[in-house]
Amino acid sequence: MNATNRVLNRAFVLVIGLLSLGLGAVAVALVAVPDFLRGWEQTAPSVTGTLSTVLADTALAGTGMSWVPLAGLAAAAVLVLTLAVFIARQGHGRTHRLITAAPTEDGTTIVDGAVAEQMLTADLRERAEFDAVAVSTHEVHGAPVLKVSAAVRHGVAARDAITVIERSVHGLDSLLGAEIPVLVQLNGGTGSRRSRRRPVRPSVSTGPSVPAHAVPAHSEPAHAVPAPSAAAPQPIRPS
Amino acid sequence: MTRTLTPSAPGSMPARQAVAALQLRHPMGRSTRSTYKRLMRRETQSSRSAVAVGLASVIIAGCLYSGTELVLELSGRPPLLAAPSDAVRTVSQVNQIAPAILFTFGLLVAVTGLVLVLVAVLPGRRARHQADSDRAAVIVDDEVVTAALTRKAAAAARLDPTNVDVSVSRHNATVRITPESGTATNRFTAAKAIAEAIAYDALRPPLEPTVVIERTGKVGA
Repeated sequence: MNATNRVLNRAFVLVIGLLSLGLGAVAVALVAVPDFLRGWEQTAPSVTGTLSTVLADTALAGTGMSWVPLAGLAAAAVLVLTLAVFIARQGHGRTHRLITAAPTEDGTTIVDGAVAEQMLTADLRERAEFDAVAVSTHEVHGAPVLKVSAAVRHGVAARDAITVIERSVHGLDSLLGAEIPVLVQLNGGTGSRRSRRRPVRPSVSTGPSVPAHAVPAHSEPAHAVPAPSAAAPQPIRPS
Repeated sequence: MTRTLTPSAPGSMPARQAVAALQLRHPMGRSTRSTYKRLMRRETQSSRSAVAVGLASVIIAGCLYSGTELVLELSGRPPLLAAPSDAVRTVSQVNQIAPAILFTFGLLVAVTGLVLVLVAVLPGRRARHQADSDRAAVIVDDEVVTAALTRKAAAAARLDPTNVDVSVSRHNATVRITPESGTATNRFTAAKAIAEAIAYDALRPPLEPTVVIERTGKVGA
């Protein structure tokens, strides 16, 4: 969540894409369309000639140097600066101010974003549902919004995580006496599925323990299904 | 004896408020809803920041390089790679370049341009879902849904989670279960557990579950 101008990003990518597409199309057309190549052959020398004339005509009085390349340099510098500003304006949108109450004769009350951030973080960090919690304050439509970004522990249902966060936010509401809009973002936890193999399940077979790799496909399983209440599938015995 | 009833304390005299009542909009008022809508849209779509910044950097580098070459030529020094006047001459005589090279170059540039146009025009959805909440705007990474469904399906099929493969797309959740050799996984139990887990999360757009039980089992699953 930030103040990136997404329309501008799209437009910029679109313009550059169209320019590249056009350039590529011209190059391909030069090879594929003989008429186009012939036309290029006829026009190119005159264009180069015109360019030389322009360079000669625009020569500066003192040095004999044309000002056109200098103008090109200036244009390149402006383009570089514009693009640098464009890059620098990506992101942002964070704020420190959470609540500014209407001023009274005693003064103005201001609640900092850090109050809510630290309260929510402290409340949620202890919960088993989350691996990590980060809270930040942003400005959207000119009003503060709290963003709760939580890494949910592997396998926890999203709804359970949401319920925990909602309860926390309701607590914050009653503490602040105001309801700040909240954005909750649930990310995957750090725990990998592969690394969390369950330990070997307890064996119910009375026979001698056999290494897992030595068990043939259709023999007594080395481990049994944990829930005995349901009808356990019967292994097929070799005759 | 008359008893004068003193008016009860609460409500008789309004306590002076230490802090002025907060003039904040109602939590689910129209403006908050529109804020939530905007947030949800922005969080579920890519900002294309990486592509835009990458392109801008390439153009900046190109400008700096051509500027350097131009200055070198103007001051009469040898070029780094090619002087601008030589470059103009090469472009004007592009018909003398080997057609194969020209064609390959053109194709590469055109394909790059097409990819950029698609990046700009397509919605650029991220692998995330929205979730209903009466208090907050909630965005859930599909990764979270995948992990939860894997655990639910594995528990329902009484298998190790490594034998359950879940993939979540925008409208579908596909659960592939590899049964333990020699046992039959109860398709009904597994499908019911998965449908319940999906309904419990109440995501938007809703997920349609598909349960696939592999025909070949795995030993020691």
